[in-house]
Amino acid sequence: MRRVLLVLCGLLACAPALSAQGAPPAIQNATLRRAIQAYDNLDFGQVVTVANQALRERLTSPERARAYELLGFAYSATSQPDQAINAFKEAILLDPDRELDPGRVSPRISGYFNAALGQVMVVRLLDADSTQFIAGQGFVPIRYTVTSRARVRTRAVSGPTSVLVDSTITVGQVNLRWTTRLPNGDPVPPGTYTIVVEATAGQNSFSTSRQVRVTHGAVDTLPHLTSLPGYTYLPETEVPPKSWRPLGLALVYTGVALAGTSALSSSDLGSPSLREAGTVGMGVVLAGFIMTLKKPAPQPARGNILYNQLLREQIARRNAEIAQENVRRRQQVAVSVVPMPRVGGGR
Amino acid sequence: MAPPRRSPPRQVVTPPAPPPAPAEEFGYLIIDATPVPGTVFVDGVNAGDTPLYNYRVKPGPHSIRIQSEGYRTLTDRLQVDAGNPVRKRYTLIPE
Repeated sequence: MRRVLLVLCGLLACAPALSAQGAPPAIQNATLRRAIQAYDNLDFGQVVTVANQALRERLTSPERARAYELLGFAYSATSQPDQAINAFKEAILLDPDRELDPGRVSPRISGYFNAALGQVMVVRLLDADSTQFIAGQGFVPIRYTVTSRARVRTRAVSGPTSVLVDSTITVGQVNLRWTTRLPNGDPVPPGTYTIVVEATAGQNSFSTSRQVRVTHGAVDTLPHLTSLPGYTYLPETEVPPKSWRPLGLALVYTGVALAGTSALSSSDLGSPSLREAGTVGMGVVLAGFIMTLKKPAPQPARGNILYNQLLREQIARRNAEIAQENVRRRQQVAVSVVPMPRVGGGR
Repeated sequence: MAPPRRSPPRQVVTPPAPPPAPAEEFGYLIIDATPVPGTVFVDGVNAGDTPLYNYRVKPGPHSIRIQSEGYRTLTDRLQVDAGNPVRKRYTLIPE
């Protein structure tokens, strides 16, 4: 009795768990609506009868998946595991991305659902990441899960362009890298691409798809340099420091002249005027002083000139490399890939 | 006078029993399409819209065509064995 109650609690939790996958599509089929009503009333015998009756009528894929889910839950509640698993298998084949919330569904139902997953061959949870890269230097991550071992081919199709991304025999989660390049190495043209994953085992095959938009853009070019970081041009002339040499020379010459004058005045050779010599000496000292005050003329700084020359050569060499790099970048393509919303209500 | 011709002895010939009618065997197709429904033609005959469930066909090769507005027409050939349902889910590519 306790087990039955547990299952019933799990079943009651199922309705919100399923609708959590997105807005449930409107049920148009009256018979299926009756089955849902019976399910809400916990009349599982009636659910089995009416849902099977609905399945014999014309149903859309979401309606058919819903009918099989109802059967799966009803069979689970009435302890018919084989029928429950078979019903879940049909629901998964119709809607492979459907998942049950283990927090809201009883472990028994989750167990039947997972058992059904292991018995069907579907490709589920196909997705591609949004990304941007330079063509040839990056890739688009693609991932999906294959529930049974199968030959799986992954293609990207847009108009006449069809690129094989991968072909392998695999099972479980698969992670692929789509380089968005054509067989000749060129980037794929821009447009909307359908990534098709098709699993084949025996005569059966299962295909699912995801659309992505591929756009092209120019690759940013590098600006030319006018200076190197951390290096600056130095002045190519420099003003020598102020020199007292002219004043010193004037004093020396004046002193020598005065000394000579004084010596002559005390000898028999004549009597030159000390006064005149002093005047001339003052003039010479004054001239020397003025020469000392005069700003010295700037002179070429050879070290700086050599340094600046090396710096200019370095910048020119770097700009030549940048120009070469920019020529290469102008031939490159920046590829942007963005997944598009799913078509057909998530199917 | 010619002797009367004797009629050959009458033989009771029992016609051979007709061979037992072969059991009518069929194969079944389960066909779905994504991301949108499509109309399925089996050997050129409109078989209905997807999902097509347990569509009965004779064993052997069959051609499949699926049409949906705004999508490329998809064609395929498949082999169906008696009593063995063939399950196919196709991806339709936008035009």
